[in-house]
Amino acid sequence: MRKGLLYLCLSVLLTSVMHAEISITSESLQEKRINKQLKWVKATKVIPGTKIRYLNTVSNTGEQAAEDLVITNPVPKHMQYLEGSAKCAGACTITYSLDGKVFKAPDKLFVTEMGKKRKARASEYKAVKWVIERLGAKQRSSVQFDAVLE
Amino acid sequence: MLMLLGAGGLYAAGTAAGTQVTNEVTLSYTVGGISQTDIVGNDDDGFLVDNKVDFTVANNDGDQIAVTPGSTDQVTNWTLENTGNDAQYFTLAASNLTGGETVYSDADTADTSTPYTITYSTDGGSTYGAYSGAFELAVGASVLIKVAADIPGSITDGDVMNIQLEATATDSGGTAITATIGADNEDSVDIVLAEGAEVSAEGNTEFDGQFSAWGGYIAQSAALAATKGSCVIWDPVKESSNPKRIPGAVVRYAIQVANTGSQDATDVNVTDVLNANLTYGTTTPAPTAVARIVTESCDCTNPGATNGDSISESSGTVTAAFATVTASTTECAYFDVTIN
Repeated sequence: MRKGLLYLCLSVLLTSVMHAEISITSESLQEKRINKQLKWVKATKVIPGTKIRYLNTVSNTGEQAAEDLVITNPVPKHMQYLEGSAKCAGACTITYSLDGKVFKAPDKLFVTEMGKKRKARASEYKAVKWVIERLGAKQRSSVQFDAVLE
Repeated sequence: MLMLLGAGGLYAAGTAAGTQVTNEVTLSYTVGGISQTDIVGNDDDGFLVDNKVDFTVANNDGDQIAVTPGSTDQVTNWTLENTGNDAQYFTLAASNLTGGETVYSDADTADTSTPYTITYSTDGGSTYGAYSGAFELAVGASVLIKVAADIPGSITDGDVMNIQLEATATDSGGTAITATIGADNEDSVDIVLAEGAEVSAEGNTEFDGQFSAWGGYIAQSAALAATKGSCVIWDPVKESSNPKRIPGAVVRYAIQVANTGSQDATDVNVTDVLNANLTYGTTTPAPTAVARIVTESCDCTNPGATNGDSISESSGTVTAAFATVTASTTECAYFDVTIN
């Protein structure tokens, strides 16, 4: 009986100590030539046509891994997603949505225009979703996509 | 100051200056198979869209405007459009191009008189008001512009007078605006000069807050040249067989007027004061005198039929009145005189 209580206490203790501390930050960046080199810096001088990179960084400062991380980023208002620009630092699955609700691979996204069904253009994507299977303790990862200001 | 509204729509030229663009991302995850509360991240208010100053000027005439030497208020037509993402003030300036500058494949050879009179229309050309300084154009709006010039009387047929209309982006007081220099601040709307340069000469460059277009005028007038010749038609000895210029002989004058210009010449009067030893016309037994204007090159001994224009004489002065000498046409005035 005492032994059982001891295991229970240890288990509760471990659960409270061994947890995942997850945070996510987002940055909007633009390319700038600095000392003859192109670098991505905080977006400040932005006019229609400027390409912006949205960089989302996920950090796990806890002691336990996080799983099934789903990062959803609606394409900001006034921005148009740039085809093929969504990436992630490690392994991930990327899908897109035309309505912010249903996410699919690009070849499965269609729109109906003047009664005819056609493949959706990247500029019509309304949201991007990344799925990362696992982010270990004390690990960090990032996902990104580029968009152009309308 | 009237703000001109265009039909282009608010976003025709891109996202409006001053718009805040923010990003928000959501993360869901599990730990140990248990779903955790979603986390939302953002990019700290994102960025503020800067003022992209962009605009175009175009000449609408498609070719030089044909003008007559000495004519006034000859109009060229232009369009100024604000293609930037904010309302913008503009000033206008028209000027002669330097010699040799080519517009619509015609090189500049002459200048119009200056200054020009500039008017512009905010209602698609129904009414035009005088341009008197900086005016504001809404995003996507455009104005039709007329530049009127006087044409010097000294220019000749084919002279090309090319001109430039330049628009400058200004503040409300008409002072040219400049791009924001130095580091940008995401919390302020900076000015970015983004206009192109339609023409590369005359100091026109892109991103300087000015945009120019070229148009012009081409002079179209008559170009007349007169030449005078003569032949002997009859003399009292040999009559019509190899006649000589002896007293009593009939001499025929043929005055050829050629119009090599591009316009018809009207009411062309050619006068000829006869030598004191000549008498206008003929007397019997000499042949009946010829006095006619013919639409042909001169053929002294074989004049064609009259075209109806008149020749008259008064006090020894002969006047040939060419009603119209058509462009690229030659006419001839014939009249006979008798050697005293």
